[in-house]
Amino acid sequence: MKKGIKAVLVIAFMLALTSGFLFAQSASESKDSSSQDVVTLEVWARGDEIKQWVPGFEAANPGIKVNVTVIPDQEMTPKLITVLGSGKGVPDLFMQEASYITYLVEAGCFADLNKAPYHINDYKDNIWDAILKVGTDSTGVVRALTWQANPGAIIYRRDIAKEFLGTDDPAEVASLLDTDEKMLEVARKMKEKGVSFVSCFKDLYDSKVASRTNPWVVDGKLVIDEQLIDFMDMAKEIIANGYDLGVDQWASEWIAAVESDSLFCYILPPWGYQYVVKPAADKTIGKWAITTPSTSYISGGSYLGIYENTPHKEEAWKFFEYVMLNDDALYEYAKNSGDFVVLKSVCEKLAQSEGEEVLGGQNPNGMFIEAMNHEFRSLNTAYDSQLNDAFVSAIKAYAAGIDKDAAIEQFKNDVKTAFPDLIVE
Amino acid sequence: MEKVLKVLIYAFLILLLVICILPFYLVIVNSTYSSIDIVTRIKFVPGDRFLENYGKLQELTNIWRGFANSLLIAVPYVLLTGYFGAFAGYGFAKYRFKGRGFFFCIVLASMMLPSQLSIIGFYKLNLKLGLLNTYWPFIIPGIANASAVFFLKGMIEQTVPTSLIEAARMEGYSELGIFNRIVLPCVMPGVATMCIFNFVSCWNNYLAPLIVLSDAKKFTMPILISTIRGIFLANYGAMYVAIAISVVPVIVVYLFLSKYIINGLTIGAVK
Amino acid sequence: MSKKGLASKTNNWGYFFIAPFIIVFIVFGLYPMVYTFQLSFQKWNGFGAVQNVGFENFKRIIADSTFPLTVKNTLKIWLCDFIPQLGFALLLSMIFTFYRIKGMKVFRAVYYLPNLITAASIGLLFNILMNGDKSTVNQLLSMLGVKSAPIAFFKSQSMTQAVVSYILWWMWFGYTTVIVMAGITSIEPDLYEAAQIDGCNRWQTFVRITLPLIRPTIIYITITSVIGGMQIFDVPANVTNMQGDPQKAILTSSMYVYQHGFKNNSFGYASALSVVLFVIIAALSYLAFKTMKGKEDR
Repeated sequence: MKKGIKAVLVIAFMLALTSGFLFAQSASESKDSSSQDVVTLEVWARGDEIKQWVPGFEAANPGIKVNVTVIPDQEMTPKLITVLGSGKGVPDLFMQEASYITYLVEAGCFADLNKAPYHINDYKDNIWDAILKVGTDSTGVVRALTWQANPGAIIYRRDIAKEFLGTDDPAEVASLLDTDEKMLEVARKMKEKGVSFVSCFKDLYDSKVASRTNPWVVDGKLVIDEQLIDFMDMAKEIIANGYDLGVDQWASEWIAAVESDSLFCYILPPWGYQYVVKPAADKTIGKWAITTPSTSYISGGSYLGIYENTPHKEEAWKFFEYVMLNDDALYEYAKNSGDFVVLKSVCEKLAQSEGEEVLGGQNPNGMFIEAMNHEFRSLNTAYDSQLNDAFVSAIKAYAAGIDKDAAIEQFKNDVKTAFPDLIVE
Repeated sequence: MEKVLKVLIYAFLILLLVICILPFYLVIVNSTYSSIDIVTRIKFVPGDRFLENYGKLQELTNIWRGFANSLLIAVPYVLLTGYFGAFAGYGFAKYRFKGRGFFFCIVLASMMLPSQLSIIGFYKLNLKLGLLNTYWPFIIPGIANASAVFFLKGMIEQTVPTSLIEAARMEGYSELGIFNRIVLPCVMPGVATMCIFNFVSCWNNYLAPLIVLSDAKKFTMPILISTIRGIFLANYGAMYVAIAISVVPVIVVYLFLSKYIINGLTIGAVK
Repeated sequence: MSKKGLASKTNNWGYFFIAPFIIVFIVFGLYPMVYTFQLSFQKWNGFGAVQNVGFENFKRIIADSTFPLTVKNTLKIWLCDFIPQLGFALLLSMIFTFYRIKGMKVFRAVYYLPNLITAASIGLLFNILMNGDKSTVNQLLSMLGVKSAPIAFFKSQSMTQAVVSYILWWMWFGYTTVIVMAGITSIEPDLYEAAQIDGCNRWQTFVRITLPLIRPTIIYITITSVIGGMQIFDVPANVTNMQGDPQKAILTSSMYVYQHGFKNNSFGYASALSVVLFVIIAALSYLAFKTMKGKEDR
């Protein structure tokens, strides 16, 4: 019987614990709903950066609250499919990375951003055309947008550039690295002294994908661009000879390398500076510089759209407008984070402002504007994230020693099994 | 010779002990250093960055909410498991109805079903019933926990004399009353063992919540943990804190309840 | 138990008591399985209409070269985990049965500890402990003077598979030990005494008396391990990136089902894969049962 008492106690304890939690939760929820006329917008985001706009937005718009929920890229689409399927619990606004966004844009779950009460056309001339294209569906309707503009860039160490290239001037560095052969030559020289040329071969892969001629799928047929097939050899050389750090992007070592003296550059758009170099730089403040590569491209970005059937259309648009299209808020954001943004007017203003301390006083925004002024082909398809993952895995297989044709064959096989409706030749 | 052997045996046992504990120890230590420190040098003594890492973690996710959510599922689940385990166990133990053997075979067979393979059907069923993004699909199955039925049936057969039940019946107790007032108190220790044991497996449930829950506020601990890497990317310090929070309470509870858990374990094997 | 004591009317109350179990089992256990079977002949993208396609999905499986690979991976990972797991469990339970070990219960409880921890945490934990040249494990190895350190654990396919097998072993050997020991305690002590009188040493006693007598326990462990092992998901999904990298080395069949269902949104195909896997698991369990039972006859 003693055992019995103990058991009852354990169960009572567990009950008390849960009811405590339940109570605490319901208490916090009832606090939220106490004032009836407050609309709470639910936003699903890939990261926490969007939270920066929330306090300013809530202050300017009493009566609207914004609740941001962070969900990683990989989980976002499955979670969305689940809520869209049941029609319950769909967020008012949701966000996805550039290579996943086309699937959602084409699936028709985002509202047409130029149908009242939305009116993105009023801003069209002030938005970088290339960025607008990414969130535009195949019928020409704009459904998603990002606050970032993301031209390709090389973020490099000035001291290492001087040592191996004889200069740290951005324009000269760009011209010394303007072909694959030149890059590999420099990488070879750096390796002899124990310096890795680039943070990860994936940096270069992204640049090649963004600057290729053909999108992954044309008329329902898989197309592997020549540039990517050629890149396989370059990637193999980089991986096999250790010209990169040998870890995936976003691994802890990959970030920690900002502070080491054994890495020359990250080849990433401005967000690479904003998320990687700037926050990690401490003793390397002032030792960094940015240049734009000779071939311009745009890569990545977090695209946000409004759920087609949201009950809070007006409020959602207000928030959308505040994040993307509000000059002051955007300028403030860019100034603090070091990011480059979607509105041309803000970019012009940024180009006039002071330089970055981490970059030794350099202001790269003029260069970015020039890069953004190029014509960009629209390369997005609904298949991009999966096909890129599969192709990178084929590159890794090739670098690990299997035959090039076999690696490509493996890639095609993966595509066939994942997307039986695609024509693969 | 015997002595040397004994020393070797102890050395072996202790080595295994270290292998089992070391990863947890490293989690706790690493959770107190910055990401950069972690990839610079191995540490065995805790540092002072725990609160900072914890702050960073709380900024992006609410780990305690995941903790509470897991409790909200696991506690009702185990209570149902304990009660209905005894309920069905009593039915099998004390009544001689037609098809009893057949139904008991169903109980045994349900232990062997590879449930992960029916996730697609499970998902669609819940979609149809409107149970997606709720906790019901994880709580209700507590009623049909075969191991609890099996264990408590045996216990009722052994500890509750049929004469006691008959006496109660004479006194005018209803059948349900007999179960609630006489049988259940008798097998309470067994019910508790089943509750505690099944608590662990329910707490660790991963795949089903992964597909059913879409609202991040409802994520259970395991789901939260698996999304952490995507959210934090390279902030190892914060990730270690998250893992530590998911690990340490379990270890603490285990310190007190290991007997129950190990007892609960052995029932499946001893037939 | 007395049969006559209860009138048949009272006996019918038995149905009342087992009804909740049976109903819930049918709804949440059996029905999803039947439903999955039905979906395997259909095409469904998760939110649109369902379309009947006959054997189309199964034809696709025959042409799918990745699926056999995932079965191979799963089997390999399971075998490399299960054999050492059983070996350690037998060795430990022999030690615990025949030697008076101080703190035996503590040892046993600690060996079982990893099994209690959420597999998702464990997967992530080993990932961040081992990934990269400067990872904690690599630093530990170089500190211990291991020559080949740093080891690129997650670059080589076989190494990554070995890591997953190791994690599973680490999680499960304590459990298996507890189960084997439970089997051993049910052996009559008289039998050991008899063996000792016959002059058997500990090793001989273990092999001749204990092992044959705990065969049902070992069969139980093997079959539940086959069923669980062929469905492993949590650890391999969290140890690298959900896609079974590097090069699908740890893409298990369950992960593959999940990918097709919830990443590629082809639920019909995922169901068909589940059905085939179900058949494979049933066959393997039967095979395991037959071979282990068969030994008895010889």
